[in-house]
Amino acid sequence: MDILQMLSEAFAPDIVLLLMAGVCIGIIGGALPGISSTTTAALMATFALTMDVTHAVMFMAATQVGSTYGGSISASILNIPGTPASAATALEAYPMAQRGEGQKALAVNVMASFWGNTIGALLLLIIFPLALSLVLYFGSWEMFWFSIFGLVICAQLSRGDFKKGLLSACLGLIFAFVGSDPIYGAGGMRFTLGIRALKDGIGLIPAMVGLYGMSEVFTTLTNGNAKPLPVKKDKLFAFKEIWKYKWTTLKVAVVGFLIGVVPGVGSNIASWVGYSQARSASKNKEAFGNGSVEGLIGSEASNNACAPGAYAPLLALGIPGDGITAIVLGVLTVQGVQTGATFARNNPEFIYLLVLSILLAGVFFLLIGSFLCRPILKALSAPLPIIMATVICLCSMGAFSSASRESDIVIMFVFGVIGLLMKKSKIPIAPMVLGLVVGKDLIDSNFRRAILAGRGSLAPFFTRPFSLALIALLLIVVLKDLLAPVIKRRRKQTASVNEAE
Amino acid sequence: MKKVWALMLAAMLVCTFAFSAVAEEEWKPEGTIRIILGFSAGGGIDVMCRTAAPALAEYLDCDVIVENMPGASSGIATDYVLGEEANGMTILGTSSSMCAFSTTENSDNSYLQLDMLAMPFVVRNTGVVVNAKLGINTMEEFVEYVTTHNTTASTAGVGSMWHIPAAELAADLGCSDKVTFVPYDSGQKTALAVAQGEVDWSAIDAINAGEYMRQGLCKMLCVFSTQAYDDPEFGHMPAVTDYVPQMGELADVIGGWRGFAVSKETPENVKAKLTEAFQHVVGTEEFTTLLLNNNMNLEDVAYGEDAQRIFEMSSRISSYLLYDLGDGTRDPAEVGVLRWGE
Repeated sequence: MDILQMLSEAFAPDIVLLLMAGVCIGIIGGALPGISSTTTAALMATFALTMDVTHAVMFMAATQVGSTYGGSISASILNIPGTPASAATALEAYPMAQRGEGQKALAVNVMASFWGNTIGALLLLIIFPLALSLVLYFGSWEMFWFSIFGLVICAQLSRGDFKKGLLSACLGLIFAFVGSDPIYGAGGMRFTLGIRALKDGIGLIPAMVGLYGMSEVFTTLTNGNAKPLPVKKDKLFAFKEIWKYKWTTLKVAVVGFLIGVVPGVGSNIASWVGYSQARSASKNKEAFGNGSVEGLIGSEASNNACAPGAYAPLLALGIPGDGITAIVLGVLTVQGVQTGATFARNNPEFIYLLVLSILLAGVFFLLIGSFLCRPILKALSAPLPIIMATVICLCSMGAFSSASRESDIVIMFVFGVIGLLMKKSKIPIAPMVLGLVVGKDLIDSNFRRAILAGRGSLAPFFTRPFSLALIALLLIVVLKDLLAPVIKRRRKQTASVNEAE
Repeated sequence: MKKVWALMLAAMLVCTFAFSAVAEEEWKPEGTIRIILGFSAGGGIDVMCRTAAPALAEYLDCDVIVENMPGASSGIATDYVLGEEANGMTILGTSSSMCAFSTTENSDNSYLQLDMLAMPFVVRNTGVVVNAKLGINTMEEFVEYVTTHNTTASTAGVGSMWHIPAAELAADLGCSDKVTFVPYDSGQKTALAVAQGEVDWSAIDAINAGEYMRQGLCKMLCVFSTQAYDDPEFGHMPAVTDYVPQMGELADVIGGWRGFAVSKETPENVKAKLTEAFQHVVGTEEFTTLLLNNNMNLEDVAYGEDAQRIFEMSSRISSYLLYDLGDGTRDPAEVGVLRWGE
């Protein structure tokens, strides 16, 4: 199949409709709090199974791209991340929305997501053959350090001081450790207080929608002067903002893509690392946490570039990079496709088609997302009781649908109260959510696996090259933050001494 | 006149019983059948259930939906299904990872509370896979190596369908104390750990390890079976029992299976109808393709009593195997599961 033939096939009306349907469904699934990208993809897998392999892959890719972007919509306008990966987005987009720049926030979101997705898709084409080498270096030791790195960055960058961020992260870890032991199963129950509903731990989705969504409802209820968000008219497309921060966009997209290549790390960490990269590169660090366009770009471009990155290990090794690619792998298996380097070598058109689908889906969500900005914001001008009642319904639906358990609704309300108390105490919520995400499956499991694989030795944590590099990076990030005020004070003192002289 | 009335009454009674018998035989689901799955969306078993659902719906002329209820290695889903009314409308999609519940404590329920309807999927190409850097090329060399060195082996979770054969192999070779099992959370990561050299070996199937085998990062030395297996791609693989005869027939039943089960309390005619429906499902083109694409053998499909026998046997063997090795935390007898052969 030559390129021209493939392009003509990709632009056939049925394919365009299929991709648009995938993107629309993805956006809706991603935007609804609690209906994560993975759940949306899982639901759509049933339809994909009825299609031929080409159509199935295109549809699933479009759904993934749409849902990854969709997660940022509710984060921007409701301060409720549709997916955990959009927590960093909420940090910047919601303050913008609060001061009437909701449309600008949504426009920057969709544009940064588009470029992140585009850069990620192009990198996938170039880099996926190298995925094998990269993946082979990332064992349990490196995965442990990577998770710690992500958590520390998140604690450092969330609103409030570093100590409060760390406290929040630690609370997240404590909650993550509730339930059955990830290594030895239910035989090793931890911190369940004998409550059966906690046997499988605290669900991430109910906790997240509680911490963000319900706490927002409680905050509004306890604030007698709460009003709907002000809305200022703005441009539909944020070309200017992206062009202004083009190098930041490129840099965070590359970083996000590379994180996506490592199986299991995923967009939850990628968005924080991207956000951190954007902050490091920024000349206006004070704006971060108060509605910074750079911060928004950092989170969204990285998050959306991570999604195509997750296809690299799938194509090169047959192992999925994240939950959604795991579902795509399932669909491909049913269709008789055994992914891996051999398959990719023998079927290059499959790779081109996948990349093309991701690129086209990006164009679709850019158009749909941009034109949806105004209607979405208009809906938010509805009376607050209606908005809050809708939020409660959506949150409850999301919390319940994750595992079909009534107890998850209770967990959601409990975490809503915890979220409210944290907000009142000015303790950031995002590190707690990330702690919940990485605590059990990444930090605890990988630490203990590494100990077992190293036959009880801690040495590989500090002697393996990639582990060492991650520790060095972690120290740089922490020390830079801790020493920055000291250096600034010294410089000021030196400058005042010089002036006096 | 009384006689006439008595005759008519008797005839009516006979007709009522006859009709009710017919009605019982021809059970027809009313409403939606739910297949409750104890694993997350997207995995192999999820794909299996989602492939089965439309064919089942077509055969039974009702709606069939799949609900994911992950947690505790499917223990939560098992308990949920057994808490529902035993009328055939709630089916458990399960796998051999539930065999060891009696000792891993993921659930108090086991084969004693469930009846297997269909168990189609004994994975044939599961075998011993070693990291290529160890330089081990034959099963003889492997036996020599693991019995003289401390080794690490990856598994897809304690009590998983890949842990049990590996643990049994180590026990039969008398080197259980020399092997450290490292549990991962999926078959793919279990295979990757061997390819990376994070662990020395594993008991895993050629689907998960295939790509690494093609790239020369690891090698499969034998299959867990009493019979050799000729893989279309990787060639001849000898039977594990050629080298470890102590495993005997166990090699054939401690491998992995996936299946559909209902509560034991479910009426017999309902179970019979559902079993019949699953026979239809397995015969459909989509399902056959799924099995073949996963290197599963159509001849290995077991239904009804045959499936239940394998379920019971593998549960009793697996539970005590793990318990004896110290990986299980509860004596299986506490929940009524007895040692095989007792």
